[in-house]
Amino acid sequence: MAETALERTSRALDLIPFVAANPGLSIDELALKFESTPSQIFKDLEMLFMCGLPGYTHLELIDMELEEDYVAIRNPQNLDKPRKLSRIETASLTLGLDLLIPLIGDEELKRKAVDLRGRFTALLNEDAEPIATVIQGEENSRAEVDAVIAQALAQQSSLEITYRSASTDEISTRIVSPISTYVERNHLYTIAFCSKAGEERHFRHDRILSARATEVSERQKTERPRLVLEKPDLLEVTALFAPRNRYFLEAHRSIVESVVPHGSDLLATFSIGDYEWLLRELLALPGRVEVLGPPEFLREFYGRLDAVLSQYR
Amino acid sequence: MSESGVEKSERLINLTMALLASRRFLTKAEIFRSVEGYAGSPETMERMFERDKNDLRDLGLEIEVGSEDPLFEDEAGYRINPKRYSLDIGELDQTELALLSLAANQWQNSLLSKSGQRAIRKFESIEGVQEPVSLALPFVKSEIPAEHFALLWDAVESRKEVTFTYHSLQSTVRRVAPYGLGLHQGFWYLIGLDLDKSEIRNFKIVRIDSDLSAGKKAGVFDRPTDFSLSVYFDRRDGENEGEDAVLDIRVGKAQEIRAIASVQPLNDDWDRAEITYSSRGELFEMTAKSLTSAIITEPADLREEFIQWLKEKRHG
Repeated sequence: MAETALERTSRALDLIPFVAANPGLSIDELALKFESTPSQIFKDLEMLFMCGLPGYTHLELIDMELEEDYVAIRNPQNLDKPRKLSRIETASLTLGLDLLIPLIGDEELKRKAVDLRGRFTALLNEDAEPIATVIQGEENSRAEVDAVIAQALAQQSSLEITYRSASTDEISTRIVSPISTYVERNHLYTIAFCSKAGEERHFRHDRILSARATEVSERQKTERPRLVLEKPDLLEVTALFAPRNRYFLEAHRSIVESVVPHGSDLLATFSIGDYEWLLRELLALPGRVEVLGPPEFLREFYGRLDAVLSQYR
Repeated sequence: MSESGVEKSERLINLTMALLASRRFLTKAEIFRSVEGYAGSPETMERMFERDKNDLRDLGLEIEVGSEDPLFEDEAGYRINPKRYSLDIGELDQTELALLSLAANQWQNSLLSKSGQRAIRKFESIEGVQEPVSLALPFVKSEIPAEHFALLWDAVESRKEVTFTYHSLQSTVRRVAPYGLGLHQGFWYLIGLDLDKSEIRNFKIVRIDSDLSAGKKAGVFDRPTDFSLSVYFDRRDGENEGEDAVLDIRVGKAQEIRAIASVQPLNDDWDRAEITYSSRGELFEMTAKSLTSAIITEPADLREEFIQWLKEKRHG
């Protein structure tokens, strides 16, 4: 879509103070920074050459050095300071800080983040109620586990963890090397290389029963760079869901191949390697779930369901 | 290109610079005479200026309207106060810049992430681009509402009604006065007054169909003064009191239940777990996931309800 004169004006007004504070960047670097193309940035700068204060002599015009690999502003006139933040720009920062603050363990850093949030909220100067809010959930992680993992991440060291697996209902002990952490639907996860599985796994923090620093053995070190070239066999599972179970399909979009309406129900196809996990998840959904295939999954699903029901006779 | 041969963007920048530079209010006649880019008949220039003024306001620039001479109030003039034009956030140290950069980078959705990047560029226009400082904090995954988000943000901000097909238990068309947006457990919600039901409702944005549209007129409703997004969600979260249940669980199994229950040995194969739960749905989910390793024993009505809940799956 072609950009409007207003979008171009907005970018041009922001280019001047940016170049003034960062002289010597190339057109390509500026294009990257402003998420635009080099030819567009060049045109913007050419246009700015023609802009200035009434009078429009060389004393009043914006003055710059403009070469492909070197841009600098000699005189920005009165556009030397960046424009104040818009409401959505401020919201992007305050909402982002709202997400981060509960995850900060270090007290000093947390205080800084809370202060910053206050400074930016004050900028909004609005009638109390914001347009968007982060609704904080319950704390689903364990402070001591989080701290041990944060330290292992910082030191690039390994941990011995006891982990409660959701798909097998078992507790296991493993040596893991944390790679990064993320939060999804209020749960903190660590992606780590697991020497037991020989590949990267995602560990939910509230399922880590204990974690302590450990040395990786020589054997485990040599296992680490092993490339997992072959994907596990993926099974295509098809099932009908009552509309109330739509949330399950939304929450697991990464494994849902397709969803189409089927009467008042939803017909969904999954591509999944961890059959045991999906079996338990489907059994735990409220209301109607009808597994249609493949036959081996269908047999297993209804076999397990009957086994659970038989305990109540 | 306009009649004067000056591009619109160029004229808007010239106008901004002139209004910023002037200590007194500039009349339209002065603007037309002195700012490059205005040409044509008086009516043409008048129309151009009205559009330009609205455009600059859309960019967030505050154009003050006033008069130098109180006896001639009808001869309005215009200026931009430099203090209200430029960003003034005080000094930011490297750690603060790193925190803000991380905050801006939390968004995968295009409106918030683009806005966040623009904000960061503005800080870099004061301090210069800084060497990145690593804070080793997690990344928060949230869903990406993309197009819908921009339209809904604008509808909340300018108080426009919205209409859309909503896919919940049924697919129905909703008309809503949007009060706000909330990010809750990784999903964005629209909260607003459902105009057909006359109730405040929340709508998960991923369930809003692509037919979402906003009315043209702005300012068509008022958000109640006592409405608060966070209070709305708090009230919904706190609806359930805890209730007690007893389950038999296999020794060494049903780990998820064990993690929140008080557990006593029953015999060689089974333990007894006492649990306080706030949602029957969550208790049933946890029990079903434990397969044959957990049996609800008390209270009887809960046990019976769980059996019926399981049978629904058997009989489709």
